[in-house]
Amino acid sequence: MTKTLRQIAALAQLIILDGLRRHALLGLFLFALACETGGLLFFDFIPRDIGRASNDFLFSISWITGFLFLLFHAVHVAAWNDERRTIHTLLARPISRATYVISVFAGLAVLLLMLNCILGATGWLVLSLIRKSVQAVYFQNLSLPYFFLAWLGLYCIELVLLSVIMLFSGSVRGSFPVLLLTISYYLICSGLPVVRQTVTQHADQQGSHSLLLLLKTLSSVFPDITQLDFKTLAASSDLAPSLSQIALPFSVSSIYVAICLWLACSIYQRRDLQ
Amino acid sequence: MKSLRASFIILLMLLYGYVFILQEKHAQFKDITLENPIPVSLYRVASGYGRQLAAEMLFIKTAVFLGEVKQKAPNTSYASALENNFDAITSLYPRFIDPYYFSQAYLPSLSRDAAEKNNNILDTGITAFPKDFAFRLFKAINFILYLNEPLESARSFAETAAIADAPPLFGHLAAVFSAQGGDIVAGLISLKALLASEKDKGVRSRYQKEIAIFEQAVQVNDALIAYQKKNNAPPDDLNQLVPEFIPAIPEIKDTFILVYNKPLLRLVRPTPLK
Repeated sequence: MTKTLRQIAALAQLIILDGLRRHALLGLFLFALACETGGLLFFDFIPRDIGRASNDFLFSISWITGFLFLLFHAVHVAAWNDERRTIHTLLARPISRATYVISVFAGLAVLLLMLNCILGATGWLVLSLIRKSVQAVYFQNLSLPYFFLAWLGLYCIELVLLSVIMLFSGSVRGSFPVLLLTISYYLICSGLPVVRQTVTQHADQQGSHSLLLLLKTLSSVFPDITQLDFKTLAASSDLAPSLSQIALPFSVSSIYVAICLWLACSIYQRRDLQ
Repeated sequence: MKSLRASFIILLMLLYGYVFILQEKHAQFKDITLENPIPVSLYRVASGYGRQLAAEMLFIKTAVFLGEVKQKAPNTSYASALENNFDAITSLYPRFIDPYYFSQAYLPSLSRDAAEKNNNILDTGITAFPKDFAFRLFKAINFILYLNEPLESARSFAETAAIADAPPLFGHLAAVFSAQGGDIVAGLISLKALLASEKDKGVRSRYQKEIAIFEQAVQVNDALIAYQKKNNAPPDDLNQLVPEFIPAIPEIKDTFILVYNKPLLRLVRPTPLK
Protein backbone atom coordinates (compact mmCIF):
# COMPACT_ATOMS: atom_id res chain seq x y z
CA MET A 1 0.00 0.00 0.00
CA THR A 2 2.77 2.40 1.02
CA LYS A 3 4.70 1.41 -2.08
CA THR A 4 1.70 2.12 -4.31
CA LEU A 5 1.17 5.50 -2.64
CA ARG A 6 4.84 6.30 -3.17
CA GLN A 7 4.51 5.36 -6.83
CA ILE A 8 1.40 7.54 -7.19
CA ALA A 9 3.17 10.46 -5.51
CA ALA A 10 6.23 10.08 -7.77
CA LEU A 11 4.26 9.99 -11.00
CA ALA A 12 1.94 12.78 -9.82
CA GLN A 13 5.03 14.87 -9.13
CA LEU A 14 6.16 14.34 -12.72
CA ILE A 15 2.74 15.51 -13.97
CA ILE A 16 2.93 18.61 -11.74
CA LEU A 17 6.44 19.46 -12.91
CA ASP A 18 5.39 18.94 -16.52
CA GLY A 19 2.46 21.31 -15.98
CA LEU A 20 4.70 23.95 -14.41
CA ARG A 21 7.24 23.55 -17.20
CA ARG A 22 4.52 24.19 -19.79
CA HIS A 23 3.51 27.42 -17.93
CA ALA A 24 -0.02 26.05 -17.46
CA LEU A 25 -0.40 27.88 -14.16
CA LEU A 26 1.36 31.11 -15.01
CA GLY A 27 -0.35 31.44 -18.40
CA LEU A 28 -3.80 30.83 -16.99
CA PHE A 29 -3.19 33.14 -14.04
CA LEU A 30 -2.18 35.94 -16.42
CA PHE A 31 -5.23 35.19 -18.56
CA ALA A 32 -7.53 35.43 -15.51
CA LEU A 33 -5.83 38.63 -14.37
CA ALA A 34 -6.21 40.20 -17.82
CA CYS A 35 -9.92 39.25 -17.89
CA GLU A 36 -10.49 40.71 -14.43
CA THR A 37 -8.73 43.94 -15.37
CA GLY A 38 -10.76 44.17 -18.59
CA GLY A 39 -13.95 43.46 -16.67
CA LEU A 40 -13.36 46.47 -14.43
CA LEU A 41 -14.04 48.71 -17.45
CA PHE A 42 -17.65 47.50 -17.51
CA PHE A 43 -18.41 48.01 -13.83
CA ASP A 44 -19.65 51.55 -14.41
CA PHE A 45 -22.72 49.96 -15.93
CA ILE A 46 -23.67 48.23 -12.66
CA PRO A 47 -25.16 51.01 -10.55
CA ARG A 48 -26.31 49.22 -7.38
CA ASP A 49 -25.49 45.52 -7.01
CA ILE A 50 -21.73 46.03 -7.34
CA GLY A 51 -20.76 43.44 -4.73
CA ARG A 52 -22.85 40.71 -6.28
CA ALA A 53 -21.78 41.49 -9.85
CA SER A 54 -18.05 41.67 -9.07
CA ASN A 55 -18.22 38.42 -7.09
CA ASP A 56 -20.08 36.63 -9.93
CA PHE A 57 -17.64 38.01 -12.47
CA LEU A 58 -14.64 36.86 -10.49
CA PHE A 59 -15.92 33.33 -9.92
CA SER A 60 -17.04 33.02 -13.55
CA ILE A 61 -13.60 34.04 -14.80
CA SER A 62 -12.00 31.52 -12.45
CA TRP A 63 -14.44 28.90 -13.73
CA ILE A 64 -13.52 29.69 -17.34
CA THR A 65 -9.82 29.53 -16.41
CA GLY A 66 -10.31 26.14 -14.76
CA PHE A 67 -12.32 24.97 -17.76
CA LEU A 68 -9.49 26.00 -20.09
CA PHE A 69 -7.03 24.10 -17.90
CA LEU A 70 -9.19 20.98 -18.10
CA LEU A 71 -9.90 21.17 -21.83
CA PHE A 72 -6.54 22.28 -23.12
CA HIS A 73 -4.08 20.97 -20.54
CA ALA A 74 -5.65 18.01 -18.74
CA VAL A 75 -7.07 16.49 -21.93
CA HIS A 76 -3.76 17.04 -23.67
CA VAL A 77 -1.72 15.51 -20.83
CA ALA A 78 -3.92 12.41 -20.64
CA ALA A 79 -3.83 11.93 -24.42
CA TRP A 80 -0.23 13.09 -24.79
CA ASN A 81 0.94 10.20 -22.69
CA ASP A 82 -1.00 7.84 -24.88
CA GLU A 83 -0.34 9.44 -28.26
CA ARG A 84 3.38 9.81 -27.77
CA ARG A 85 3.69 6.39 -26.20
CA THR A 86 5.00 7.83 -22.93
CA ILE A 87 2.58 5.49 -21.26
CA HIS A 88 4.72 2.56 -22.42
CA THR A 89 7.79 3.99 -20.72
CA LEU A 90 5.86 4.58 -17.52
CA LEU A 91 4.18 1.18 -17.52
CA ALA A 92 7.51 -0.50 -18.25
CA ARG A 93 8.38 0.39 -14.66
CA PRO A 94 6.71 -1.75 -12.04
CA ILE A 95 3.50 0.29 -11.74
CA SER A 96 0.04 -0.95 -12.53
CA ARG A 97 -2.27 0.74 -15.00
CA ALA A 98 -4.62 1.67 -12.14
CA THR A 99 -1.73 3.37 -10.36
CA TYR A 100 -0.97 5.22 -13.58
CA VAL A 101 -4.57 6.53 -13.89
CA ILE A 102 -4.73 7.60 -10.25
CA SER A 103 -1.32 9.27 -10.52
CA VAL A 104 -2.26 11.32 -13.57
CA PHE A 105 -5.53 12.33 -11.89
CA ALA A 106 -3.73 13.24 -8.65
CA GLY A 107 -1.07 15.26 -10.46
CA LEU A 108 -3.61 17.23 -12.46
CA ALA A 109 -5.82 17.67 -9.36
CA VAL A 110 -2.90 19.17 -7.44
CA LEU A 111 -2.12 21.50 -10.36
CA LEU A 112 -5.77 22.52 -10.42
CA LEU A 113 -5.71 23.10 -6.66
CA MET A 114 -2.64 25.31 -7.02
CA LEU A 115 -4.35 27.28 -9.78
CA ASN A 116 -7.49 27.68 -7.66
CA CYS A 117 -5.47 28.77 -4.63
CA ILE A 118 -3.70 31.46 -6.65
CA LEU A 119 -6.94 32.64 -8.28
CA GLY A 120 -8.80 32.46 -4.96
CA ALA A 121 -6.24 34.60 -3.13
CA THR A 122 -6.18 37.11 -6.00
CA GLY A 123 -9.97 37.08 -6.12
CA TRP A 124 -10.30 37.81 -2.41
CA LEU A 125 -7.82 40.67 -2.76
CA VAL A 126 -9.71 42.11 -5.76
CA LEU A 127 -13.08 41.84 -3.98
CA SER A 128 -11.67 43.49 -0.85
CA LEU A 129 -10.26 46.33 -2.97
CA ILE A 130 -13.57 46.84 -4.81
CA ARG A 131 -15.43 46.79 -1.48
CA LYS A 132 -13.16 49.48 -0.07
CA SER A 133 -13.51 51.65 -3.17
CA VAL A 134 -17.33 51.84 -3.20
CA GLN A 135 -19.89 52.99 -0.65
CA ALA A 136 -20.90 50.33 1.87
CA VAL A 137 -24.50 50.26 0.61
CA TYR A 138 -23.36 48.92 -2.78
CA PHE A 139 -21.22 46.13 -1.35
CA GLN A 140 -22.72 45.15 1.98
CA ASN A 141 -21.63 41.54 2.41
CA LEU A 142 -18.38 39.70 1.89
CA SER A 143 -18.09 36.47 3.82
CA LEU A 144 -14.80 34.55 3.97
CA PRO A 145 -16.37 31.20 5.02
CA TYR A 146 -18.85 31.35 2.13
CA PHE A 147 -16.07 32.46 -0.20
CA PHE A 148 -14.18 29.27 0.78
CA LEU A 149 -17.33 27.21 0.36
CA ALA A 150 -17.92 28.66 -3.10
CA TRP A 151 -14.33 27.93 -4.09
CA LEU A 152 -14.57 24.40 -2.71
CA GLY A 153 -17.72 23.91 -4.80
CA LEU A 154 -15.95 25.21 -7.89
CA TYR A 155 -12.95 22.92 -7.28
CA CYS A 156 -15.28 19.97 -6.77
CA ILE A 157 -16.99 20.66 -10.14
CA GLU A 158 -13.57 20.77 -11.78
CA LEU A 159 -12.62 17.46 -10.17
CA VAL A 160 -15.80 15.86 -11.51
CA LEU A 161 -14.88 17.04 -15.01
CA LEU A 162 -11.29 15.86 -14.54
CA SER A 163 -12.43 12.39 -13.54
CA VAL A 164 -14.69 12.28 -16.61
CA ILE A 165 -11.74 13.35 -18.78
CA MET A 166 -9.75 10.42 -17.34
CA LEU A 167 -12.63 8.11 -18.18
CA PHE A 168 -12.93 9.43 -21.75
CA SER A 169 -9.15 9.35 -22.25
CA GLY A 170 -9.21 5.67 -21.41
CA SER A 171 -12.17 4.99 -23.67
CA VAL A 172 -11.20 6.81 -26.87
CA ARG A 173 -7.91 7.49 -28.59
CA GLY A 174 -6.70 11.03 -29.29
CA SER A 175 -7.10 14.32 -27.46
CA PHE A 176 -9.59 15.94 -29.87
CA PRO A 177 -12.35 13.32 -29.42
CA VAL A 178 -11.83 13.52 -25.64
CA LEU A 179 -12.18 17.31 -25.81
CA LEU A 180 -15.41 17.03 -27.82
CA LEU A 181 -16.82 14.39 -25.48
CA THR A 182 -15.99 16.51 -22.43
CA ILE A 183 -17.69 19.59 -23.87
CA SER A 184 -20.73 17.49 -24.80
CA TYR A 185 -20.78 16.00 -21.30
CA TYR A 186 -20.64 19.48 -19.75
CA LEU A 187 -23.46 20.77 -21.97
CA ILE A 188 -25.64 17.79 -21.09
CA CYS A 189 -24.92 18.36 -17.38
CA SER A 190 -25.94 22.05 -17.77
CA GLY A 191 -28.93 21.29 -19.98
CA LEU A 192 -30.49 18.37 -18.15
CA PRO A 193 -31.70 20.40 -15.12
CA VAL A 194 -33.30 22.92 -17.52
CA VAL A 195 -35.07 20.13 -19.41
CA ARG A 196 -36.15 18.54 -16.12
CA GLN A 197 -37.56 21.83 -14.91
CA THR A 198 -39.52 22.29 -18.15
CA VAL A 199 -40.84 18.72 -18.10
CA THR A 200 -41.79 19.03 -14.41
CA GLN A 201 -43.83 22.15 -15.18
CA HIS A 202 -45.80 20.26 -17.85
CA ALA A 203 -45.83 16.85 -16.16
CA ASP A 204 -49.16 17.39 -14.39
CA GLN A 205 -50.90 18.56 -17.56
CA GLN A 206 -49.55 16.01 -20.02
CA GLY A 207 -48.84 13.09 -17.71
CA SER A 208 -45.20 12.74 -18.81
CA HIS A 209 -44.14 11.14 -15.55
CA SER A 210 -42.22 8.36 -17.32
CA LEU A 211 -40.15 10.99 -19.13
CA LEU A 212 -39.50 12.69 -15.83
CA LEU A 213 -38.31 9.39 -14.37
CA LEU A 214 -36.00 8.87 -17.35
CA LEU A 215 -34.55 12.37 -16.91
CA LYS A 216 -34.06 11.75 -13.20
CA THR A 217 -32.16 8.55 -13.99
CA LEU A 218 -30.07 10.38 -16.58
CA SER A 219 -29.22 13.01 -13.95
CA SER A 220 -27.36 10.34 -11.98
CA VAL A 221 -25.07 9.86 -15.01
CA PHE A 222 -24.93 13.55 -15.91
CA PRO A 223 -25.04 15.25 -12.49
CA ASP A 224 -26.39 18.76 -11.97
CA ILE A 225 -23.13 20.59 -11.33
CA THR A 226 -24.94 23.79 -10.36
CA GLN A 227 -25.77 22.07 -7.04
CA LEU A 228 -22.15 22.84 -6.16
CA ASP A 229 -22.50 26.49 -7.18
CA PHE A 230 -22.38 28.48 -3.92
CA LYS A 231 -20.76 31.60 -5.35
CA THR A 232 -23.73 33.93 -4.83
CA LEU A 233 -23.46 33.41 -1.05
CA ALA A 234 -19.99 34.96 -0.82
CA ALA A 235 -21.06 38.55 -1.47
CA SER A 236 -24.76 38.74 -0.77
CA SER A 237 -27.32 38.38 1.98
CA ASP A 238 -28.92 35.37 0.27
CA LEU A 239 -30.37 32.77 2.60
CA ALA A 240 -27.72 30.38 3.90
CA PRO A 241 -28.20 26.81 2.66
CA SER A 242 -28.93 24.03 5.13
CA LEU A 243 -26.25 21.52 6.10
CA SER A 244 -27.79 18.87 3.85
CA GLN A 245 -27.83 21.32 0.92
CA ILE A 246 -24.08 21.66 1.37
CA ALA A 247 -23.13 18.11 2.39
CA LEU A 248 -25.18 16.16 -0.15
CA PRO A 249 -23.79 17.72 -3.37
CA PHE A 250 -20.23 17.31 -2.07
CA SER A 251 -20.90 13.68 -1.08
CA VAL A 252 -22.56 12.87 -4.41
CA SER A 253 -19.73 14.41 -6.43
CA SER A 254 -17.02 12.71 -4.33
CA ILE A 255 -18.59 9.28 -4.88
CA TYR A 256 -19.13 10.15 -8.57
CA VAL A 257 -15.42 10.97 -8.95
CA ALA A 258 -14.48 7.67 -7.26
CA ILE A 259 -16.79 5.70 -9.60
CA CYS A 260 -15.40 7.47 -12.69
CA LEU A 261 -11.82 6.75 -11.63
CA TRP A 262 -12.65 3.13 -10.89
CA LEU A 263 -14.22 2.81 -14.35
CA ALA A 264 -11.24 4.55 -15.94
CA CYS A 265 -8.86 2.13 -14.17
CA SER A 266 -10.93 -0.86 -15.35
CA ILE A 267 -10.94 0.40 -18.94
CA TYR A 268 -7.18 1.07 -18.91
CA GLN A 269 -6.54 -2.44 -17.56
CA ARG A 270 -8.54 -4.02 -20.38
CA ARG A 271 -7.29 -1.71 -23.09
CA ASP A 272 -4.90 -2.75 -25.82
CA LEU A 273 -2.20 -0.11 -25.80
CA GLN A 274 -0.52 -1.26 -29.01
CA MET B 1 17.35 40.26 -53.31
CA LYS B 2 17.17 41.46 -49.69
CA SER B 3 16.35 45.04 -50.68
CA LEU B 4 13.66 43.74 -53.04
CA ARG B 5 12.06 41.79 -50.16
CA ALA B 6 12.23 44.85 -47.89
CA SER B 7 10.67 47.05 -50.60
CA PHE B 8 7.94 44.49 -51.11
CA ILE B 9 7.02 44.33 -47.41
CA ILE B 10 7.05 48.15 -47.15
CA LEU B 11 4.83 48.37 -50.23
CA LEU B 12 2.49 45.75 -48.74
CA MET B 13 2.25 47.68 -45.46
CA LEU B 14 1.58 50.95 -47.28
CA LEU B 15 -1.10 49.24 -49.35
CA TYR B 16 -2.67 47.86 -46.18
CA GLY B 17 -2.64 51.34 -44.61
CA TYR B 18 -4.28 52.86 -47.70
CA VAL B 19 -7.02 50.20 -47.91
CA PHE B 20 -7.62 50.47 -44.16
CA ILE B 21 -8.11 54.27 -44.40
CA LEU B 22 -10.48 53.76 -47.34
CA GLN B 23 -12.48 51.26 -45.31
CA GLU B 24 -12.68 53.65 -42.34
CA LYS B 25 -13.89 56.46 -44.62
CA HIS B 26 -16.67 54.34 -46.05
CA ALA B 27 -17.64 52.68 -42.79
CA GLN B 28 -21.20 53.39 -41.75
CA PHE B 29 -21.69 53.21 -38.04
CA LYS B 30 -25.16 51.93 -37.40
CA ASP B 31 -27.20 53.04 -34.41
CA ILE B 32 -27.01 50.74 -31.44
CA THR B 33 -29.96 48.38 -31.54
CA LEU B 34 -31.39 46.06 -28.94
CA GLU B 35 -32.18 42.58 -30.18
CA ASN B 36 -34.57 40.17 -28.55
CA PRO B 37 -32.61 37.78 -26.32
CA ILE B 38 -32.38 34.06 -27.03
CA PRO B 39 -34.70 31.92 -24.85
CA VAL B 40 -33.74 31.84 -21.17
CA SER B 41 -33.50 28.04 -21.18
CA LEU B 42 -30.83 28.23 -23.90
CA TYR B 43 -28.94 30.84 -21.88
CA ARG B 44 -29.03 28.47 -18.90
CA VAL B 45 -27.68 25.54 -20.93
CA ALA B 46 -24.98 27.56 -22.65
CA SER B 47 -23.79 29.53 -19.64
CA GLY B 48 -23.95 26.76 -16.98
CA TYR B 49 -21.87 27.87 -13.99
CA GLY B 50 -21.60 31.37 -15.45
CA ARG B 51 -25.35 32.03 -15.79
CA GLN B 52 -25.21 34.92 -13.33
CA LEU B 53 -22.47 36.54 -15.40
CA ALA B 54 -24.53 35.93 -18.55
CA ALA B 55 -27.45 37.81 -16.95
CA GLU B 56 -25.16 40.65 -15.89
CA MET B 57 -23.68 40.92 -19.39
CA LEU B 58 -27.16 41.05 -20.88
CA PHE B 59 -28.00 43.78 -18.39
CA ILE B 60 -24.90 45.79 -19.36
CA LYS B 61 -25.84 45.43 -23.04
CA THR B 62 -29.35 46.71 -22.27
CA ALA B 63 -28.00 49.56 -20.13
CA VAL B 64 -25.65 50.61 -22.95
CA PHE B 65 -28.59 50.64 -25.35
CA LEU B 66 -30.67 52.75 -22.96
CA GLY B 67 -27.77 55.15 -22.53
CA GLU B 68 -27.47 55.60 -26.29
CA VAL B 69 -31.12 55.54 -27.29
CA LYS B 70 -32.09 58.67 -29.15
CA GLN B 71 -34.93 60.77 -27.83
CA LYS B 72 -36.50 60.99 -31.27
CA ALA B 73 -36.68 57.20 -31.64
CA PRO B 74 -40.30 56.07 -31.33
CA ASN B 75 -40.82 54.23 -28.07
CA THR B 76 -42.67 51.37 -29.68
CA SER B 77 -39.63 50.50 -31.80
CA TYR B 78 -37.71 49.08 -28.86
CA ALA B 79 -40.39 48.47 -26.22
CA SER B 80 -40.81 44.78 -26.99
CA ALA B 81 -37.06 44.05 -27.11
CA LEU B 82 -36.57 45.98 -23.87
CA GLU B 83 -39.36 44.03 -22.13
CA ASN B 84 -37.95 40.70 -23.31
CA ASN B 85 -34.41 41.57 -22.30
CA PHE B 86 -35.42 42.60 -18.78
CA ASP B 87 -37.59 39.50 -18.55
CA ALA B 88 -34.68 37.29 -19.63
CA ILE B 89 -32.23 38.96 -17.22
CA THR B 90 -34.53 38.65 -14.22
CA SER B 91 -35.56 35.08 -15.07
CA LEU B 92 -31.93 34.09 -15.44
CA TYR B 93 -30.85 35.78 -12.21
CA PRO B 94 -33.80 36.82 -10.02
CA ARG B 95 -31.65 38.07 -7.14
CA PHE B 96 -29.74 40.65 -9.21
CA ILE B 97 -31.48 43.88 -8.23
CA ASP B 98 -30.32 46.40 -10.85
CA PRO B 99 -32.57 45.24 -13.71
CA TYR B 100 -35.70 45.82 -11.60
CA TYR B 101 -34.76 49.47 -11.03
CA PHE B 102 -33.91 49.98 -14.72
CA SER B 103 -37.05 48.21 -15.82
CA GLN B 104 -39.14 50.42 -13.53
CA ALA B 105 -37.38 53.54 -14.81
CA TYR B 106 -37.85 52.80 -18.51
CA LEU B 107 -40.67 50.35 -19.18
CA PRO B 108 -43.94 51.57 -17.60
CA SER B 109 -43.92 54.94 -19.37
CA LEU B 110 -43.62 53.31 -22.82
CA SER B 111 -47.10 51.81 -23.08
CA ARG B 112 -49.83 50.05 -21.15
CA ASP B 113 -48.53 46.67 -22.34
CA ALA B 114 -45.02 47.57 -21.21
CA ALA B 115 -46.35 48.63 -17.79
CA GLU B 116 -48.13 45.28 -17.46
CA LYS B 117 -45.00 43.42 -18.50
CA ASN B 118 -42.99 45.49 -16.03
CA ASN B 119 -45.30 44.40 -13.22
CA ASN B 120 -44.71 40.76 -14.23
CA ILE B 121 -40.97 41.41 -14.07
CA LEU B 122 -41.43 43.01 -10.64
CA ASP B 123 -43.31 39.87 -9.53
CA THR B 124 -40.08 37.92 -10.13
CA GLY B 125 -38.29 40.44 -7.89
CA ILE B 126 -40.99 40.21 -5.22
CA THR B 127 -40.67 36.40 -5.19
CA ALA B 128 -36.87 36.69 -4.90
CA PHE B 129 -37.04 39.42 -2.22
CA PRO B 130 -40.36 38.91 -0.39
CA LYS B 131 -39.49 41.43 2.34
CA ASP B 132 -38.28 44.21 0.05
CA PHE B 133 -40.67 47.16 -0.04
CA ALA B 134 -39.25 48.87 -3.14
CA PHE B 135 -40.43 46.37 -5.76
CA ARG B 136 -43.90 46.18 -4.20
CA LEU B 137 -44.09 49.97 -4.12
CA PHE B 138 -43.11 50.11 -7.82
CA LYS B 139 -45.80 47.59 -8.71
CA ALA B 140 -48.53 49.40 -6.77
CA ILE B 141 -47.54 52.76 -8.27
CA ASN B 142 -47.63 51.28 -11.77
CA PHE B 143 -51.18 50.11 -11.20
CA ILE B 144 -52.33 53.60 -10.27
CA LEU B 145 -50.13 55.72 -12.54
CA TYR B 146 -49.87 53.72 -15.75
CA LEU B 147 -52.65 51.13 -15.67
CA ASN B 148 -55.41 53.16 -13.99
CA GLU B 149 -56.34 50.25 -11.75
CA PRO B 150 -56.74 51.74 -8.25
CA LEU B 151 -58.17 48.55 -6.75
CA GLU B 152 -55.17 46.49 -7.90
CA SER B 153 -52.93 49.22 -6.54
CA ALA B 154 -54.79 49.10 -3.22
CA ARG B 155 -54.37 45.31 -3.15
CA SER B 156 -50.60 45.64 -3.73
CA PHE B 157 -50.30 48.29 -1.02
CA ALA B 158 -52.36 46.15 1.36
CA GLU B 159 -50.06 43.15 0.73
CA THR B 160 -47.04 45.36 1.40
CA ALA B 161 -48.62 46.75 4.56
CA ALA B 162 -49.04 43.19 5.84
CA ILE B 163 -45.25 42.61 5.83
CA ALA B 164 -43.58 42.91 9.23
CA ASP B 165 -42.06 46.38 9.88
CA ALA B 166 -43.85 47.89 6.87
CA PRO B 167 -44.34 51.66 7.25
CA PRO B 168 -48.00 52.62 7.94
CA LEU B 169 -47.89 54.69 4.74
CA PHE B 170 -48.62 51.53 2.71
CA GLY B 171 -51.77 50.76 4.70
CA HIS B 172 -52.94 54.35 4.27
CA LEU B 173 -52.33 54.26 0.52
CA ALA B 174 -54.24 50.95 0.35
CA ALA B 175 -57.21 52.68 2.02
CA VAL B 176 -57.02 55.73 -0.26
CA PHE B 177 -56.79 53.71 -3.48
CA SER B 178 -59.51 51.29 -2.36
CA ALA B 179 -61.84 54.27 -2.04
CA GLN B 180 -60.63 55.68 -5.35
CA GLY B 181 -61.37 52.33 -7.00
CA GLY B 182 -64.89 52.25 -5.56
CA ASP B 183 -64.35 49.91 -2.60
CA ILE B 184 -65.02 52.54 0.08
CA VAL B 185 -65.90 49.96 2.73
CA ALA B 186 -62.50 48.25 2.38
CA GLY B 187 -60.84 51.65 2.63
CA LEU B 188 -62.78 52.41 5.80
CA ILE B 189 -61.76 49.08 7.38
CA SER B 190 -58.10 49.75 6.54
CA LEU B 191 -58.28 53.23 8.06
CA LYS B 192 -59.85 51.89 11.26
CA ALA B 193 -57.11 49.26 11.50
CA LEU B 194 -54.49 51.97 11.05
CA LEU B 195 -56.11 54.12 13.72
CA ALA B 196 -56.11 51.21 16.17
CA SER B 197 -52.37 50.69 15.81
CA GLU B 198 -51.31 54.36 15.59
CA LYS B 199 -49.91 56.15 18.64
CA ASP B 200 -48.98 59.54 17.21
CA LYS B 201 -51.65 62.08 18.12
CA GLY B 202 -51.34 64.11 14.95
CA VAL B 203 -51.63 61.08 12.69
CA ARG B 204 -54.52 59.68 14.76
CA SER B 205 -56.40 62.97 14.35
CA ARG B 206 -55.86 62.82 10.56
CA TYR B 207 -57.09 59.23 10.43
CA GLN B 208 -60.18 60.16 12.48
CA LYS B 209 -61.04 62.96 10.04
CA GLU B 210 -60.65 60.64 7.10
CA ILE B 211 -62.72 57.93 8.80
CA ALA B 212 -65.55 60.48 9.28
CA ILE B 213 -65.43 61.27 5.54
CA PHE B 214 -65.32 57.58 4.59
CA GLU B 215 -68.32 56.86 6.87
CA GLN B 216 -70.30 59.59 5.10
CA ALA B 217 -69.37 58.09 1.76
CA VAL B 218 -70.38 54.62 2.96
CA GLN B 219 -73.82 56.02 3.88
CA VAL B 220 -74.23 57.29 0.31
CA ASN B 221 -73.03 53.93 -0.98
CA ASP B 222 -75.61 52.12 1.19
CA ALA B 223 -78.30 54.43 -0.19
CA LEU B 224 -77.16 53.60 -3.72
CA ILE B 225 -77.44 49.87 -3.02
CA ALA B 226 -80.91 50.36 -1.56
CA TYR B 227 -81.99 52.41 -4.61
CA GLN B 228 -80.66 49.75 -6.96
CA LYS B 229 -82.48 47.00 -5.07
CA LYS B 230 -85.78 48.85 -5.32
CA ASN B 231 -85.48 50.07 -8.92
CA ASN B 232 -83.33 47.29 -10.39
CA ALA B 233 -81.05 49.96 -11.84
CA PRO B 234 -78.60 52.50 -10.48
CA PRO B 235 -79.64 56.19 -10.41
CA ASP B 236 -78.38 58.60 -13.09
CA ASP B 237 -77.58 61.19 -10.46
CA LEU B 238 -76.93 61.06 -6.71
CA ASN B 239 -79.70 63.60 -6.08
CA GLN B 240 -82.21 60.90 -7.04
CA LEU B 241 -81.38 59.25 -3.69
CA VAL B 242 -82.72 62.24 -1.73
CA PRO B 243 -84.84 62.11 0.36
CA GLU B 244 -86.12 58.53 0.13
CA PHE B 245 -82.81 56.76 0.64
CA ILE B 246 -80.72 59.45 2.32
CA PRO B 247 -81.78 62.80 3.87
CA ALA B 248 -79.08 64.76 1.99
CA ILE B 249 -75.90 64.10 0.02
CA PRO B 250 -73.05 64.99 2.42
CA GLU B 251 -70.78 67.76 1.30
CA ILE B 252 -67.37 66.09 0.96
CA LYS B 253 -64.55 68.35 -0.21
CA ASP B 254 -60.97 69.39 0.56
CA THR B 255 -59.34 66.06 1.51
CA PHE B 256 -61.55 63.91 -0.70
CA ILE B 257 -64.25 64.40 -3.33
CA LEU B 258 -67.23 62.14 -3.83
CA VAL B 259 -67.40 61.12 -7.49
CA TYR B 260 -70.29 59.18 -8.99
CA ASN B 261 -69.72 57.55 -12.39
CA LYS B 262 -72.77 55.39 -12.84
CA PRO B 263 -72.85 52.78 -11.33
CA LEU B 264 -69.66 53.35 -9.31
CA LEU B 265 -69.30 55.65 -6.31
CA ARG B 266 -65.72 56.65 -5.64
CA LEU B 267 -63.88 58.78 -3.15
CA VAL B 268 -60.97 60.52 -4.82
CA ARG B 269 -58.32 63.05 -3.85
CA PRO B 270 -59.05 66.60 -5.17
CA THR B 271 -55.76 66.48 -7.11
CA PRO B 272 -55.46 62.83 -7.82
CA LEU B 273 -52.13 61.22 -8.60
CA LYS B 274 -53.32 60.62 -12.15
